[in-house]
Amino acid sequence: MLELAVKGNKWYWGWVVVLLGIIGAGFGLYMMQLKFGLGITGMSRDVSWGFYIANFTYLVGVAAGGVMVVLPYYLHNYKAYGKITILGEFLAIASIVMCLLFILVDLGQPMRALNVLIYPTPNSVLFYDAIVLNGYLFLNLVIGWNVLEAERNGVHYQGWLKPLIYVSIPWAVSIHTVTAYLYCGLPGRHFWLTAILAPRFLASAFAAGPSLLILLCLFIRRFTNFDPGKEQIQSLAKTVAYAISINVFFFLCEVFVAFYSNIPGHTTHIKYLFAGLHGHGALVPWMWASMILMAAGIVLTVTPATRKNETSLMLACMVIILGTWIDKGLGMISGGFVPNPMHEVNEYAPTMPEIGITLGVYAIGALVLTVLYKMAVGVKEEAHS
Amino acid sequence: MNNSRRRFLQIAGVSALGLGAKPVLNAFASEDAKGPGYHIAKGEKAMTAKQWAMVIDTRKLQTAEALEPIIAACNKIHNIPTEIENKNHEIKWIWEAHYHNAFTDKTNNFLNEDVENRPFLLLCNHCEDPPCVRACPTKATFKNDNGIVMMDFHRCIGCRFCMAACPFGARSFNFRDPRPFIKDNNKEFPTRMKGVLKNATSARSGWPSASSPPAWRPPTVPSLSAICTTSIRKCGNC
Amino acid sequence: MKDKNKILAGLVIFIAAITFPFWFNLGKAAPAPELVLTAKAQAAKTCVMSKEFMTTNHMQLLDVWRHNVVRGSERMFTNPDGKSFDMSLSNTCLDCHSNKADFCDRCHNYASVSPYCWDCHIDNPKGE
Repeated sequence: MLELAVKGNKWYWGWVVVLLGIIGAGFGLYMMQLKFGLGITGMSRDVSWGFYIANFTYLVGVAAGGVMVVLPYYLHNYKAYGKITILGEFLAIASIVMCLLFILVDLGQPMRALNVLIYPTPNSVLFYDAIVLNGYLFLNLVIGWNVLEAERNGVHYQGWLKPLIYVSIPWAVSIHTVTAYLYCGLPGRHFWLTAILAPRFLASAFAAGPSLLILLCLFIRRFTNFDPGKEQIQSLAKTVAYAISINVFFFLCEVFVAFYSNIPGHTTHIKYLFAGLHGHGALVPWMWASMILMAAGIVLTVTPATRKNETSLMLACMVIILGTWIDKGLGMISGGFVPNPMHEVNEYAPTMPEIGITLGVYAIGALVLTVLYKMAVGVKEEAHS
Repeated sequence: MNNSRRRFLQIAGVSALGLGAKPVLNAFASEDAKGPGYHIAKGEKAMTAKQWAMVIDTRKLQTAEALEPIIAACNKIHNIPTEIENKNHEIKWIWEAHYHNAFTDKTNNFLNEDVENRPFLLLCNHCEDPPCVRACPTKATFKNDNGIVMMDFHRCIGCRFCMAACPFGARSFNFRDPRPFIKDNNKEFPTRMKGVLKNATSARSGWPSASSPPAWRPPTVPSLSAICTTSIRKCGNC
Repeated sequence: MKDKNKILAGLVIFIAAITFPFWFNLGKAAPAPELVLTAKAQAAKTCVMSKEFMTTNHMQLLDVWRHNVVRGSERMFTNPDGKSFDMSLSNTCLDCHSNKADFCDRCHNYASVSPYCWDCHIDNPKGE
């Protein structure tokens, strides 16, 4: 099927070349980082994880979000999604590739990465994260590829894929649960030390993933001969509406627990994020922007008129993606580290090389997604022509 | 020691699978009967414990000046880069903190002023059940037989999970090569490379630890215990 | 198979390209390096193990050392002759072999390996 990805018009190739350019620049910066050390980032002794891990966390969510089309189709026999499950699976593949790359660029000694396998350590959550992420990548590759190939050949997919498909559904939940457990089992980091962190991650994942999928569907309809379908997009929009509402609800639960109990360890992080602490408040405007964006997302997706209008739906998806990215990407990681366990405030901001490397990783993800979607859409166009 | 011979054979075996199998196999053949014939053990003077502990008599350390030689000695023995100017890249093994930062949950309005204004030494606690050890994905940070939380710099992948896990802020990371920032190298102790983590290992200097029987301590460098000849710091087995 | 010639030409170019290093260096084998021992190493006559063992196996032995010292708190090495040594790269090995450039590097460069020992361990600890 790869041959479908090497046939494209000048826009397609132009886009590929742009992505390769960004990847090249990011790679150059990464070489700099390898030579100098992680000191070229904004991370510090206090905020020891930054932009890389934040984007990793966000993209695990996007990957898990793909299950929102797989689950209704395979478990509830919701036929309409049959057309677009492949888009969810391929989005998951691209996201996991980015996740793994973000982990890799975050390592101080990346050449030793395989030590995680050479010295398996079952008491470390990172060990399980490596298993679930690679497993999910593998599952989606096998399932997505074979189902698409079967569709191309006009046959039903192989029987042995069925158990893998069923496994992939709880597996999607597991990737984000384990990723939340990376944070919420750490003593001394009270912002993360909450049982609701995994559910919160999943809620934001099921809002952000399907939102991105809707945007991709709208793009595909506009620029190719394959229409993912109005009903499909509307169903996804309802999922987004529920998920973004639950995400904000969970956050408000956190705020209640922190401020009604008034336990300092719990309130300081939220105060830092939304009001600033001891004169440090770099994230304050971002966090309020995130809240406003997510609130706007709820209004736009819950209101039937704006949900059914695809232009306003597109806007809703954009604000939700941006809002959840700030919430989970910028706020969740920095917020957990500031103030540090000794109640000292040392803020974090990503540096230019760090942002450049991040963009490089996103460009690799975009390239993987472009190639995979080119193939998927190619097969769909063949089938429907 | 059986253990180390097995490990030697493991390594040799793995190497044999790779390139240059022949010389390794030759070496194997010649030693097959007796093994390499060496013996590895703890030193005769090695001291053991279930869990070493260290007590600092804070009553005798009233001022920052009193802490200063202790911190300086630790930094010197362990090649801590003290000249890093960028605060983000700071390495701290033992450092001074205000009461409010050292005992965050034990502050109130009517503290003994003397205690409240006294500087405190912070360092790795060598926890009984260390969260950093739990978090480490490669066992690069581990608890040794004597209860010391050790760092295997050769194995660390630099994921910094231990830094996030430590509730006492005792872990540092080499955000860059530390060597240019070390004042006055102690050449008999290694520095670290960029991209690995560290805590105050304590395994070499002040501790009567099994990994450094006194006879083998670098003789030229004053260790922490040599400086704290009084009863400020005491070590013992719990 | 109308592209037979193109395929063959491509194959020839490919094989020529990947075997280029062999052609290029043919008959120009670099001489094996001569190692220089310090006076102290010469006086000691033998290393912790026999010379032959050390030549072929020092890397494995060092790995055993670092593993047993760091992870097993075992620091005493007794060789087949019953002589004991402190298992320390900095303080035992590099004490005698304080001439990194003439002892370690020559062979490592020849074999094109770059061990990262000296990223942390300071060579020539006594400063001789």
